[in-house]
Amino acid sequence: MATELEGILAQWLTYFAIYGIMALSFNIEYGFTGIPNFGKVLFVAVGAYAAGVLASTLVLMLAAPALGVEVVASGEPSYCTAAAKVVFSQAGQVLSTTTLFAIFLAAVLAAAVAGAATSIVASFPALRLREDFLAITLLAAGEILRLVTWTSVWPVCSFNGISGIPSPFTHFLGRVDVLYAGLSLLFLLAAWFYTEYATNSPWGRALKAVRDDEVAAEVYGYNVASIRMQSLLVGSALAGIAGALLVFYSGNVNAGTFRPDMTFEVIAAVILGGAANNLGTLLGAAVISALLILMNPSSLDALGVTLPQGLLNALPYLKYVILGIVILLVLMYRPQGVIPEGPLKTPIVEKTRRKLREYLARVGGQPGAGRQ
Amino acid sequence: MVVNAAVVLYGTIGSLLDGLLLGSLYGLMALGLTLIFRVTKIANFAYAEYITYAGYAAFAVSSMLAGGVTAFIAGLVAAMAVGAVASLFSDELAFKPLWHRGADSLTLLVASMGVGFVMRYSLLGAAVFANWPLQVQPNVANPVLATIGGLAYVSGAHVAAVVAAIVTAVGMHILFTKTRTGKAMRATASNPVLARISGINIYYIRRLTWLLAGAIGGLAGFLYSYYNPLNPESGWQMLLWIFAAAIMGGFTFYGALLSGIILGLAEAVMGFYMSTFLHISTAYSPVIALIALVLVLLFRPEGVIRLETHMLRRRV
Repeated sequence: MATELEGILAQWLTYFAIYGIMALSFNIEYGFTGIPNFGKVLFVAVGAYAAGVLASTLVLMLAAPALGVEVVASGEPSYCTAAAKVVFSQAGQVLSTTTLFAIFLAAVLAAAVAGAATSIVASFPALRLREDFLAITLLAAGEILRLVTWTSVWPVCSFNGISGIPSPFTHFLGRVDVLYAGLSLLFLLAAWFYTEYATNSPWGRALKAVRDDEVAAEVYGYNVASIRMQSLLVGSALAGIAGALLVFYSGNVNAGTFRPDMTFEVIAAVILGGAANNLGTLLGAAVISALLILMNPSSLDALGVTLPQGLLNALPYLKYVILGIVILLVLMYRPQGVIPEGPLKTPIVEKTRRKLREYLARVGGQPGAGRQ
Repeated sequence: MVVNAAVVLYGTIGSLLDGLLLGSLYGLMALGLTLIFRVTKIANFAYAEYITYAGYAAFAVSSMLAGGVTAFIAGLVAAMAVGAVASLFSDELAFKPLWHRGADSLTLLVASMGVGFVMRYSLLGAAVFANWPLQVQPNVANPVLATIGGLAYVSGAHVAAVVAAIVTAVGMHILFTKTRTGKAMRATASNPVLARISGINIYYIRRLTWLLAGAIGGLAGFLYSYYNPLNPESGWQMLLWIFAAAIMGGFTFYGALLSGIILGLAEAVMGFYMSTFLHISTAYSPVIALIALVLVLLFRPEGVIRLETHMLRRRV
C-alpha cells in the first residue's frame, strides 16, 4: 500500500514537473506576451522527437558494437528495427551511468534547440495574424505534424514509435520512478527560476507592454516583432525540454501522445492558476496533473477505491469532462485565475525603494518629515 | 508498375464523386460555423460536437423505426432538432454569460474548446459506460443510384449532400441579404448596442442564429452519418476541415460552400493520384486540407473566395 502510494506520488510529481514546464512556457507566450500558442503540443512533440531520435541513435552507436548486435536498416531509421530494440533492452550492460546521463543531457539540450528552431517557423504566423486565427493556425500546424509523423516512418517509426529508450537510472536499484521525479523536479525548479528571473526583468516589462498595447510599445521604442519572436523562442525551448522529459519518463516516443488535448490541458492549467503569474501557473499545473493522475483506473485501484466497472471504463473520458467544466467555471467566475497577475518585481523598483529608505533615514525617520 | 488506364479513369471519376460529396458536407458544416462567426464573432470549436450529437440522435431515432422513408425523415428531424438544441444550450449556458461579462474573442474560443470537451467526452464516457456501439449509422439504406464502370458509383448520399449544401447556402445567402431578419442579424453583428436602440431584439436574433446554425450542423451530421459511420470523435476530427472551409471562404456563405467543395475534391482526388502514381499512403490526404488552411491563414486571412462581398459591392 505504502509503496503504491509512493508510486502515485512519484507519478504525480513527474507529471507536475512536465506539465509545470509546459505551463510556464505557455505562460510566457500567452500570459505575458499575449500570443495564444494553441500549438503547444507541436513544440512539445518536436522536442520529444528530437530527444528520442538523438538518444536512440546515440545508444545504438555506443552500445551495438559492444554488444555485437548488427543493426541493418532498409529504408527506415536504424532505431526502428527489431535489432535496435534488442540493443535498447541490453544497453545497460555496456553503458555506464555517466554515459547514460550524458545521453540524457544531450537529448534534453537537443530538444530545447529543436523546439527553439521550430518557433522560428511559428513566429511567421505569430507576427501577422489576429489572436483567434493565430490559435487556429498553430492548432492546425500541430495536427499536421501529428498526422504526418503518425504515418511516416521518419522520424519516429510511424505509429509504432520508438520504444525502450534506456533511462539514465538504468543501473539504479529501487525506486527509479522516485529518482526520476526528483530529476524532473530539478528541471522544473530551473525553469521556474529562469522564468521568474526573465519575466521580472525589463524584458518581462517589454513582453507585457507588447501584450497590452502594441502601438504604445512601438512608440516607446520596442521592436514588437522581435519581442514576440523572443517570447516564442524561449517558450518553445522550454516546451521542447518538457517533451524530452516525457520521453525519458515513459521510455518511448509515439506520435499518438501529442494530441491537441495536451495543449488544452496546459491552457487549462494556466487559466486556472492565473495567466501572467508564474506561481499561479505552477499551482494550476499541480491541480491539472493531479486530476490526470487520479482519474486513472490503475491509481484508483492502488488507492483502494473501488468503482463499478462501467464507471472505471468511462474514467479516462470523464477527466476531460471535468477539465472542460473547470475551464468554463474559471472563465466565468474568476477569469483572472486563482492567483491573479501581480506587479513585476524588477530590480529598478527595489533599488528605488532602497534609495528612498536611505534618504528617509538620512533626513530623519518618518515619510514627509523632510518637508517640514 | 503499370497503372491500368481503366482503373485510373474510373478511380478518378469515383474520387471526384466522393470528393464532391465530402466537400459538400464540409461546405454545409462550414455554413453553420460561418453563421455563428458572423453574428456572434465566436470561432466556435464546440460546433463539431453538434454534428456528432445530431448523428447519434439520428441513429437513436431511426433504429427504433423499421427503416425506409419514415426512418429517413424521423432521423433527419431528430438530427436537426438535437443539433439546434445542443447549439442553443451551449450558447445560453456558456457563451452568452461570458459575452455579458465582456469576454474577448480569444476567451470565447477557449470557452468553446471547453464546451467541446465537455460535450465530446461526456458522449464518449456515456457510450463506454452504457456499452453503446462506438460506430453508429442511422437505420436508413443508402441506395446506389448509378454505377460507373464498376468502380465509381453515385449513391443517395451523394445527391442528398450536394442538394442540401447548395439549397442551404442559397437559403442562408437570401436570408442574410434579402430579409429583415438577416438585416437584423447583420446589425446585431456589427453593433449590438446600436441594434438594440433601433428596436432589434438582439437576444431573439442571437437565439435564432444559434438554433439555425445548430440545425445546419444537425443536417450535415445526419447526411454524414447516412454515408459514413459516425463515432463520438467524428465531429472533432472534421473540425479543422470545417474551419478551413469557413476561413477560405472568408466567412461568406457561398465562399464557404465552394471552399468546402474544393477542399473535399483536393483531398479525394489528390489522395487518389498520390496513392496510384507516387505510392504515397492515402493517410496523408487529410494533411492537404490542413496545409491549405495554414497557407490561407498565412497569406490571405481575409479569405480566398469572397463571392458575397463582390456581389454586395456591385449592387451598391
